[in-house]
Amino acid sequence: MGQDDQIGQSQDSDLTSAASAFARLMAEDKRQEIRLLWWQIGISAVVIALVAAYFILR
Amino acid sequence: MMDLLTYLCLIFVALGTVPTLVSFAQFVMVGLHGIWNHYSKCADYTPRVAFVLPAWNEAEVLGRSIDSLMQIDYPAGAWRIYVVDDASTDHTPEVMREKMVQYPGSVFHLRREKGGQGKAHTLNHGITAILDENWAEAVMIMDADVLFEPLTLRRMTRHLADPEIGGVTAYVKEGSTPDHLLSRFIAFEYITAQAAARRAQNVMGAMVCMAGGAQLHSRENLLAIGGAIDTSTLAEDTYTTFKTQLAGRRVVIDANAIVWAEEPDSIAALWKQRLRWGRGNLQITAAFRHLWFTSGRLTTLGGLPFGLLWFSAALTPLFMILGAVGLVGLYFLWAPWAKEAFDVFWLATFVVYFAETLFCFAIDPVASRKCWLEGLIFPGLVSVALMVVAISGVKITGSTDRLSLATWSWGDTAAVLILAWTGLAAPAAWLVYRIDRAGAPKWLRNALLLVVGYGPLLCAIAFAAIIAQLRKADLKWDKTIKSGKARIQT
Repeated sequence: MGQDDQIGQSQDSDLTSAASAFARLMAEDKRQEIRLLWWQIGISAVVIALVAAYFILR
Repeated sequence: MMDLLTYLCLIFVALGTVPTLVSFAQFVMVGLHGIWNHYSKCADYTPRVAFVLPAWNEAEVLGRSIDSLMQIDYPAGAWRIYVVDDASTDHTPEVMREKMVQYPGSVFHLRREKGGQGKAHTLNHGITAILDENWAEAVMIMDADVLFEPLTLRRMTRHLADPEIGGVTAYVKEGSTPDHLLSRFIAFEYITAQAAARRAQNVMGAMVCMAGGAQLHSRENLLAIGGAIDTSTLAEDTYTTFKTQLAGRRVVIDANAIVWAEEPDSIAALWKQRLRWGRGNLQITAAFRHLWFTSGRLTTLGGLPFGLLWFSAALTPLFMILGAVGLVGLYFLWAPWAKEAFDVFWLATFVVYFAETLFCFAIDPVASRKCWLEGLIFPGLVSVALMVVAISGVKITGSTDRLSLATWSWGDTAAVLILAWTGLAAPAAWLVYRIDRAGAPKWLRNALLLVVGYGPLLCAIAFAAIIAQLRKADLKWDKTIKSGKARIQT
């Protein structure tokens, strides 16, 4: 294997690792947004339940 | 006549709930950001970025900011730092000489020999120099004290891969170390006003403001808006945000991109900063008067939802006063209705407050671990107590249905004060500000702030801004003094 091939392989591996780092970052941030959506659904359910209980027990 | 006045009072009470209801509508949209966000159009895009740091006597903070910027995770050689020194009289030039030696080819010092014209003029000095060269593909406008987390720039530039995006802003977090009561209030405020509200604005498709501490523009966008920042208002960041969107490009926040800043450590300093922001926003209201509640091309930026959002924030004090007038008026006209209206008003406030506070804790659990108490008492202990009164059903009105001075009692006085609290909270907050400015001990200031609330303090400042604009008071750019207390926190 020549020196040029080794340089080429090293550049390829840098690019692959940068691409996977970016993919990880994107996945992490998308997960965070989905997590917030579920939190909001949960909190809304709790609030609706509390308001309903308040008016029933009033 | 009596009936007409009663209905008028009911309308006033309904208007008093407008800021609360608009805030709730915005809160509902935050979760939708999980579905409607800009991530699907992002790509691994790392343009050459020029950071512009306007600096006037920033020797205390500049070195740390430059060091933090030089440690970011970004392709080598793809970012430069331009410090625009607005004729500083402290050691800023010495700090810059040292940093230029430490980071050759990456840090540049642009000095204005005549300064003091304000941040926008200083920024323009740097932006002109940057655009004159062909090197920068994007420009990051920021403050000299702002600290970037390592991945923040990457998180922001990925949005510029979409040519429809002209500007990207980040979530600015309060980073004063050690923290204190006011910094924790501000930390919670920024969860609501930035991490939450701006996510909702992403969903709406129109952004109110890109934070002045972290505004990333594509080169094309800066050129499209004239290659300069507007110098005619005190809110140059909001003006730039509007101009960008009117020029046909979108603005988004990446709330996962975080920067840290030092915010005011006294009520007096906060008042000065926020008064400037408030007056700047009123100037923008007038400057873009053709925009409000329009349809057609400008539907998103100036349409009904955006207009409601804008005016409910700018005119919150007036809505609060109307609410108080309505409740007190009802007490005099037909006391039982006053109690009913009071209950509805404060129950609605409680539901929104409870849901939003819990959600803010979920949005930024790390910050919330430090500022949860300030989040809970954000509206002030008096307002929290009134919510409890409304929930518990305690009778606050007198025994008679229609009041007369002949039967007036201390109980009636107390009832009027309770009903009028939404209107009295802002003057009470103004008193706390005056007490702080008079040099009162910190414990007293803090105790009063807890009782009155941070929310009413912001409301009082918004009211002072309206008064200052109506009086055409002197417009001057008062810089917020920074002492280098901000740290990146994990």
